Amino acid sequence: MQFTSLIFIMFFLIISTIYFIIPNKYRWFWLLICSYLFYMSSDPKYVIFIAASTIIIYFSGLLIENANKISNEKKSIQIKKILVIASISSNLGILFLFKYYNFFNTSLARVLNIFGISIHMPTFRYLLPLGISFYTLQALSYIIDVYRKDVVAEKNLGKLALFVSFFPQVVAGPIEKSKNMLHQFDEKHVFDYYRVKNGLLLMLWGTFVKIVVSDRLAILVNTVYDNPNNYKGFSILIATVFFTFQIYLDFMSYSDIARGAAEVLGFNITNNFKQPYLANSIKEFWSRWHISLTSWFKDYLYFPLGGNRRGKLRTYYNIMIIFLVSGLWHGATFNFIIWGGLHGFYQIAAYLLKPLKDKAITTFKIRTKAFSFKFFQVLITFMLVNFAWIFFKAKSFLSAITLIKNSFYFNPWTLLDGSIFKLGLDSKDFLVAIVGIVLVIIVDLIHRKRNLRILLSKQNIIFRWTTYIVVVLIILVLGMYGPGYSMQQFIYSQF
Amino acid sequence: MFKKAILKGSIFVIILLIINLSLNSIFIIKTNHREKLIEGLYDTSQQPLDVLLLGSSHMNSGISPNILWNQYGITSFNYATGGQPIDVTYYVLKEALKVHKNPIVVVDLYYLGLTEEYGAEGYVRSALDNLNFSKNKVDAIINCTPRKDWINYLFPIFKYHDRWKELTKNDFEFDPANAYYEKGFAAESDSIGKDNTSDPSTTGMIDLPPKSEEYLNKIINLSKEEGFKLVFTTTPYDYNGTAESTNWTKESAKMFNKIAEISKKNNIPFINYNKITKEMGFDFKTDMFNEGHLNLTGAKKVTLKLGEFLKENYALADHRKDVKYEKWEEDYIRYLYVKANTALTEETDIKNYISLIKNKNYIIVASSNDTGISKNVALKEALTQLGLKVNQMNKDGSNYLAVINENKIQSEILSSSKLSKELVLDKDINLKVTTKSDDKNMPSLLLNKVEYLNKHNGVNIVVFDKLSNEVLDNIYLDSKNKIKREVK
Repeated sequence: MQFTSLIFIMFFLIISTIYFIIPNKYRWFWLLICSYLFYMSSDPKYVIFIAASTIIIYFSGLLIENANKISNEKKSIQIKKILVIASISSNLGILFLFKYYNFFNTSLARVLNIFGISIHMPTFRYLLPLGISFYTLQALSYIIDVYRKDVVAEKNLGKLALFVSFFPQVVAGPIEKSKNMLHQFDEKHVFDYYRVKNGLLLMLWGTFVKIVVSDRLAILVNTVYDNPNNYKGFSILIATVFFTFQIYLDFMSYSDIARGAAEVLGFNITNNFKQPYLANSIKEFWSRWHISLTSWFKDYLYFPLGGNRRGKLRTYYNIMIIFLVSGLWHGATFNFIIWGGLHGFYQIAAYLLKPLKDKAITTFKIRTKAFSFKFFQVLITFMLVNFAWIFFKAKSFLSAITLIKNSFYFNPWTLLDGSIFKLGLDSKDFLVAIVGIVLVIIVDLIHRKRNLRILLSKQNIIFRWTTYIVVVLIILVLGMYGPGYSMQQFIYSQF
Repeated sequence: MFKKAILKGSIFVIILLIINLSLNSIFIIKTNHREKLIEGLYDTSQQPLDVLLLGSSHMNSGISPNILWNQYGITSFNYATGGQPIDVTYYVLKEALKVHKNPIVVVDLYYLGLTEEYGAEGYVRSALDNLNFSKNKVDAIINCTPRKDWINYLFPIFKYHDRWKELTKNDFEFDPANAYYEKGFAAESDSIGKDNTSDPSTTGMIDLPPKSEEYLNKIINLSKEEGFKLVFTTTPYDYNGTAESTNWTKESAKMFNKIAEISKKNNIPFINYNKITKEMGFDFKTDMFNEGHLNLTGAKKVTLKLGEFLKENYALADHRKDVKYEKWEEDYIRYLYVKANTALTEETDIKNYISLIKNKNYIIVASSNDTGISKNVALKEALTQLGLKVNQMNKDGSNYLAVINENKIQSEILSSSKLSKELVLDKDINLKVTTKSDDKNMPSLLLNKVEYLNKHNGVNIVVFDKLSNEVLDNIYLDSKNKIKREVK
């Protein structure tokens, strides 16, 4: 049940209406039923794993809290550590089996092969359970939060199950920490007209961005990235810039629909994005891109590793670890690891080059407050991010290299002789794609200072309703959906 | 607050649905099937019909309501659309019965041969997309299309929205009324030139494909419930044409024998025109357009035969003298006129052509800037037949321009210099003819500033139709005096 499908819209309208009709004390239970139905709609058998994860963290949570009561502090900590490690490794074990086993298997075989040793291990032939990378991190956050006494262990198995499987987030986040989310299931959520309307608006915006803009960009991107050998120069540059926007719009639209759906129901979940492509450094980019993941890694990995408090070298090491793990988290391929590594490298390089940069600024009297300087910083950051995305999108390491090699070819005539309209988008679709990107950039610029939804709510009803209807009509007419198209999955729902 | 929200939400959804439905009509492909179904089913100005004609393309090109009118004073409409499966026919019939009470319903049963549960989407859509939203349409969608496609049939914009790039003025201002005079009939004029390779007299029977049988029975039951009279037909065609199809019955002749038996049991006439070709004077070679479809002459023969049957067996009043039906006579005249126009644009022999263009509704412009005109005997003869005096013009000059209006010569000039003439027919129609266009130095005709230029220096003849206010034909002669046309 994809968020932009008609069936999800129907599902959501029906379940949220019922949600507000039934008494408050049963609502969490209703959400639990709906979340499991939603989860099972893609492939019912994988529900076992999400249920197993829940049960593991439920009991280990209770046991950890019990261990707190042991008077012998040393022993208490020892038991708690064992419990945390056991619980984390069993959760990660499931994730490893589905996501990384085959990758490590083949990689190990390749390495051993170099030394003339050949091994034959059975391959694991199951599809990745929906949302496993996301809900596993959420489950781990609960265990660690209980261990750190940031939350008390949840006594109600149902509520904990809802925390792990809450349908707006289960497929692709935002990844909530238990300390931000769990207590919300105990709160009373009244029907607030403006909140519900705002939530629906966010969902509408997400749907527009996904099916009108992002899926349109995807056509050109896939044309080029599926056949890297056939394209050169500007075709690759355009496809790469388009992918940079596609992945942002795709993930942002997913997160907006998730956030909007949760908002309708009265829940507040993290905004995953804060105009990431307006960041002026890679470090800042990561505080604006996939915020819930960055924050998770910071809280549960970077800080425990010592963060930046143990000297420069250790900081660089920690940064690299975080980004390699982050790359691997996205998928079990070398390309993702390279992508993560590049982002780690960018940041370390920025640290190392900082004295040089500062010196250049004072020597050449560069005005760092000028718009041109800031623009330049944003542009450089954007280009670095762009480059890294090549590895993220390319089907293999070799095709990434081919793409990079082929992009060094100066063929500006292809921009003028109509060749760019042969990459899957004709001139009219291309125009819609560009207008779509520009529109999203404008909305992002406005969002730095103002909230568009509040601005809109101050207008008269005729204007508001006309806006809503026009957006729906644009989706209906210009959307990439229907029998002529195969529905484009959200990119992050595949991780 | 919750109730208010539900109310507001419902109003919003209703507004959206209304807009959505109106958008559908813009995006649905404008075919002649759309034209005729909208006219036939929803034009409330028409009189209740005597006869409804239903079925697939065999019926579409088989029975001409205009001939039924002209010969017997019977009013009818042909609701058939290409590839229409029998289940769809059942719902089209129900839709037509909403307006026409107790008509005689003639159904062509060729499509009972379909062995698949659902017809091809394109064919099903050419009927269902053109029905107005109603319970009947929803029933039709549920029963005639696979479940996964239901939503896309209910909201055709889901299917057609990517036509946004190719929308034209016609999509926004589509006016089906213009096609009403045809009454849903359309046939080609060419002939197949081959004989029937199958044997319609084969005996024996086979069972009907399950869904065909189900819907045949549904149509029969409907006639009993609603009390209308039913006639089954099948027009002549070559059964071997479908022999190779994987989704078609292998033994059409035996299927029709079975249908004959079912019809007899239910006391419904079944006319298999394939079996009475001799009686009708029907010649497969000249009366078929291809192995499946009748051409204009074939359709005329079958229509006359059906009309004769209807007249003999049912008490049908002759409406030809009834003033209430004046429009039917007008439509018939228009039908003949369009047929004549079509024949004109297909003629390649100059002698025949000259006799066809002698029509008071035409303006004929002949022009040339080639000296050849005075030497070409055949051409001179042809133009003389129109009453032109080109033969007697002996003075030199390569610029020739003649205009004939209402069968009268308005002007005829031969000159050594460029000739031009401007005709203002009414305030909206401006016709400008010249022997040398400004840019290409060739004869040219401008209609409301749109140029109709024949890229040929010989004699050009342009026929302008005053009824439709269009340039009907635009010809020149090749070296063998054969008519050539620029493709429109």
